[in-house]
Amino acid sequence: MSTESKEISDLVKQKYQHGFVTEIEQELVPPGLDEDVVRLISRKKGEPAFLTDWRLKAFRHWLTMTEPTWAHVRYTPIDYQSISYFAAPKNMADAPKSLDEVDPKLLETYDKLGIPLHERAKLAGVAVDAVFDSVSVATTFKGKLAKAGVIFCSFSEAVKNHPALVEKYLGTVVPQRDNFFATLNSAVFSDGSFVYVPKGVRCPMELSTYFRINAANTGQFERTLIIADEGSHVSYLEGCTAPMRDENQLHAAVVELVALEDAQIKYSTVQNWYPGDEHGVGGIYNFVTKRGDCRGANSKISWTQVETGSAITWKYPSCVLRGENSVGEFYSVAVANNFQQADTGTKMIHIGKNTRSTIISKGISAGRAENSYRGLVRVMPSAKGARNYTQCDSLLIGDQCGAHTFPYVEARERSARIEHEATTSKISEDQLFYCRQRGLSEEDAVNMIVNGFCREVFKELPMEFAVEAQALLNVSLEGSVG
Amino acid sequence: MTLERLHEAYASALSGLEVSDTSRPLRDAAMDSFGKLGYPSRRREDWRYTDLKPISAGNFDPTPAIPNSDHIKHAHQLLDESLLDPNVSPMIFVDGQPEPGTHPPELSGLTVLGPEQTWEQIGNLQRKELYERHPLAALNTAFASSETLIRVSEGSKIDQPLHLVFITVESGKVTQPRILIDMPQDSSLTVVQHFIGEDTAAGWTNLVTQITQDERSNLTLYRVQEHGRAQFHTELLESKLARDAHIKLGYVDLGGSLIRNDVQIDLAEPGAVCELFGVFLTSHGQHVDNHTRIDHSAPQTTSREAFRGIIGERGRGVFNGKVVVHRGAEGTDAEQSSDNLLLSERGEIDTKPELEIYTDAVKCAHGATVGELDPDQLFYMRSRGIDEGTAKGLLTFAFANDVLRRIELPEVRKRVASSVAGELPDYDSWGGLL
Amino acid sequence: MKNETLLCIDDLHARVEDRMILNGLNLEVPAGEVHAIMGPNASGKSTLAQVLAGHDNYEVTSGSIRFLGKDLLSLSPEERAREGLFLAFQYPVEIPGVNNAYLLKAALNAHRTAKGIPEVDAFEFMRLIKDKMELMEMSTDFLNRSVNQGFSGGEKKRNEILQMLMLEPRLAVLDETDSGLDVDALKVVATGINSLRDPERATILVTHYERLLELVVPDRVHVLAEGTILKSGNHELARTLDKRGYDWVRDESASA
Repeated sequence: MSTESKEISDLVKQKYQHGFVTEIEQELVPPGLDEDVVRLISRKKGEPAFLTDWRLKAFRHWLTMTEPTWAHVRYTPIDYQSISYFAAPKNMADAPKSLDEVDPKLLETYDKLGIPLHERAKLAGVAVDAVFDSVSVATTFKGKLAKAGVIFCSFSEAVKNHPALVEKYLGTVVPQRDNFFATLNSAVFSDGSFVYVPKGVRCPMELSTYFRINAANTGQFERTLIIADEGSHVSYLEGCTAPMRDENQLHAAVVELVALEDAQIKYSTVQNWYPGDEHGVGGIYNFVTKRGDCRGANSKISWTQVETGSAITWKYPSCVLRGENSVGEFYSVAVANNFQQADTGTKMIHIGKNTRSTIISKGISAGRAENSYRGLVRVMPSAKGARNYTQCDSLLIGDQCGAHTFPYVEARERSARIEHEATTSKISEDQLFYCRQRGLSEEDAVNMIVNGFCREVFKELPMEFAVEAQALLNVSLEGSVG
Repeated sequence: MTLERLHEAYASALSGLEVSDTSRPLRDAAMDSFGKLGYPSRRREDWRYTDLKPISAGNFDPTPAIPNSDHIKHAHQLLDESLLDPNVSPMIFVDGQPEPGTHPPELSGLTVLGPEQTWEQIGNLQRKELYERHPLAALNTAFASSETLIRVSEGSKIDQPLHLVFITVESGKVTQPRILIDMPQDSSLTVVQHFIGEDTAAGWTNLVTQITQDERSNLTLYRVQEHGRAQFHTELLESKLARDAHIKLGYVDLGGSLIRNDVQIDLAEPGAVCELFGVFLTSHGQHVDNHTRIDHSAPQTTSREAFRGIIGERGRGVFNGKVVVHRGAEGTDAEQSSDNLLLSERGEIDTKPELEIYTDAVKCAHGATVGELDPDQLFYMRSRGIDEGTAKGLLTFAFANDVLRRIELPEVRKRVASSVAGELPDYDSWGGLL
Repeated sequence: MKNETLLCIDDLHARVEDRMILNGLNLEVPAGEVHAIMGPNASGKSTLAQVLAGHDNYEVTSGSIRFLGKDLLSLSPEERAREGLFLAFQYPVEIPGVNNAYLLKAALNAHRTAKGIPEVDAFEFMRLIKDKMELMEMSTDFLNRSVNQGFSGGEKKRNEILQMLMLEPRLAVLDETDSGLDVDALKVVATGINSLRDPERATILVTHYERLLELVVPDRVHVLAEGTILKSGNHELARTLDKRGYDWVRDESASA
């Protein structure tokens, strides 16, 4: 690197440590992706050599890959060289000073979703003062966790404080080369969560990204790693119901879960990334690779998700059922309205003996949206006694949208029992009329029926999420009927 | 057979045939298409589970065969052993050629036409999109032999079924029959397609059956595949249905080595109905792949699809049933099921029933199961004194027979059922009970 | 003093698709009364019930309906419900995933909000519903089951009456509520209906059979045939119909 840029980059490092932003910083990181940018990211984070090398390996491989085109989604091609890969901290000078300066429509949505007042300011990006509250609450949680021996911190912190753990497990569930977006993420990931639950510990509370200090807007290339050691239990909540906007359109996250013998991980997501306006303009492209490895016998991993946002969603939370008697579960509600497109589902790979998987997927399409379920149930020859049950239901609202089902069932073991059922329907006129005759407005009737449709999934969500999820569903379907 | 070899063969093959003038430009265009598309590779989503290498790398002769009297005698021997219905005289094709000196049966209201008229119809049906989706159909068009047009007259309801039997005797040949069926308004017909051959004959049958169905026409087609164990078989069957037309298709696959069946049905006008059922057995290295596609392009259309697979030792089964409900096709009622029994340790089944739905006022459901025999049913039988082997045999047979029952020709049904039973394990111990 | 006329149907013509079903139907139901509407199959009895509730499969081609003095035809189904009209369906629909308690609470609150009364909270709701459920001899676990899912015919009808008791309508229209009920269930249903009789309310029983009318004695009985009311009378008329059938009514009206 030239002397000039080295001086500048040292300058930048200094400024970052002091925690404020100057204009210089933003000019210095132009869009584009090459090895230098990857090294820059790693250096800015102060990462050890093994990780820098890991990123570079991924980047070099990414250059040889082509973007996949098989999903049932259409989008204008992404120009990877026009994205800025190092997210500078927000320029606080431009942030709204109070809720009065925030877009009233946004506040109206917070109202409908029932978001507590003290959270609204943080979500709306109001500067400094309002954030104070949540910082103090978060400190209490940290204390409790520390007593139990649970490590819950940002990924970057984990790299600094627990590098051995990170090195041991990173990339062992989602290998670098797994797919185009996972490889990209491996090269340029910004931050995310790290959780380690020690042997025999039941994590004393649900872990939520909201309480993670330094949870700045790092959503672009998030990397999360959760390890549940033998006999431990943990429940993790990701996301929130508030519509999250981001200047960065492309989100390519990777989440890896490892459950050792007798351990259980429950991972719940409620996501409402900005879906674009009523005409389909703008909106986030959400390409996520999530996988859980039931490594030990009797382990269990459950994915529960309510996805209502993003312009394009491409995600298949999966379970590799390696350990004997291990269990994988997937409960999902995916809503697509207006011009959204979703191609989502799950993969359950049965490898060990007597493994079980359950898939309950509810898709709702409205407006001009396209919603596809893509699932794979693969039973390897070693998976004696494998059991799978899949229930995949689609609800169509209106005649301009689409709902599709692509289930792949690959069975190579004779004692396996696999059952897949799928139905597609619309809200029946009779059901609507019945509710209206009881005095409910058409909109309320639709909401109630749709919530009933999703009930099996909602009851798997941790309580606080379940209530929010119902409200979120209602808001997402606004304007879809009549 | 590499593309090069195919191009050579195309040039020389046609000079050996009495090729009608009408057909030449159509054949050339088709060969051109196939040249550009090539054999479908595993990178195509709809070919992901079936590798055509054994065919593309095989050394076959695509020159249409000319069966001599020995071949014909041999063919008749095979036919005698495997006749589906002793009361019906089938139309006989030996190594892809109609048996010389034989005529199609005389049935009032039915006309069977030869190449000249068939090519006229092929011309009406030929389209680029068809070949892009099914390159092997393009190949068939280029090399088509025994082009037959079966035409029913308007309003004729023909009771007697029409049997076509294709017998493979010579080894190493590619036979590419082209069958067209024209069903005008208010007509009705049952056709049986039967494939048999020597276990030592190792060749490739690449068939295309194209059907046109006008208003209120009713076609039933049973296809019974009992090729020799070394034969490759690929086929495309397509039909487009007008208002209130019905089609019923029954697919039975018992023989052959590598089988790929493509079925494409377009329910193009209101009231059209499609019933598609199938039973396939695969074991000992066989590979059976059923790929179906039903398009509900108009409102108030109905489809019922049910496939059952029995996968034995080292057998491989693939099922992909795609149902597409287009925008505007309100009142569609579609049901689809794929049920499979894995009988042994080293079998594999890949099933993927697909639904693509673009409108809301529809009723669509599908299901897929893979499993063993129901332990409760097994136990029940054993508690009544039946030994395990027999119980398993009977239950496995019942699994298939449940669908075979839909064959409405009693002789054919009985014969097919007993063939299926004969292929199941331990038949000797329980077969006598049927 | 004559009671307020709750419902006034004047020369009603209605059709479904292109078939005329109601051909000039006239009916007046004052508050405080129970009216029975009987008639042969396909006479238009259920159509009348659905038209009153506002189902859009049916088109009113002419005529008027006034409910509590308001033009009923100009109101949407939920508006009619909130005005105090209740329809007990002949074939109650199933709504998977929505439990009975939830639907009822939502409906009750929708009614209350329309009247300007505060909504019920969970405790008050449970108190209210437990009473009514005892009356209807239903066990409380039904509350957590999905609306009508897996219910026998009799259970569905009881559920309809339970909802009626909770929503306390001014005019209850019961569409063949007695069909498919055994003797005991019929008694329970009748108790429920009778408990709602008072000078401010009215009930229309659409029925084929006389049995319910022995338990819920009607003030007026009307015979609906060929899309119109051919004859009206008191309870005796119902007993006569039970013995003689409907043909004599048609003959009588034809010769009139």
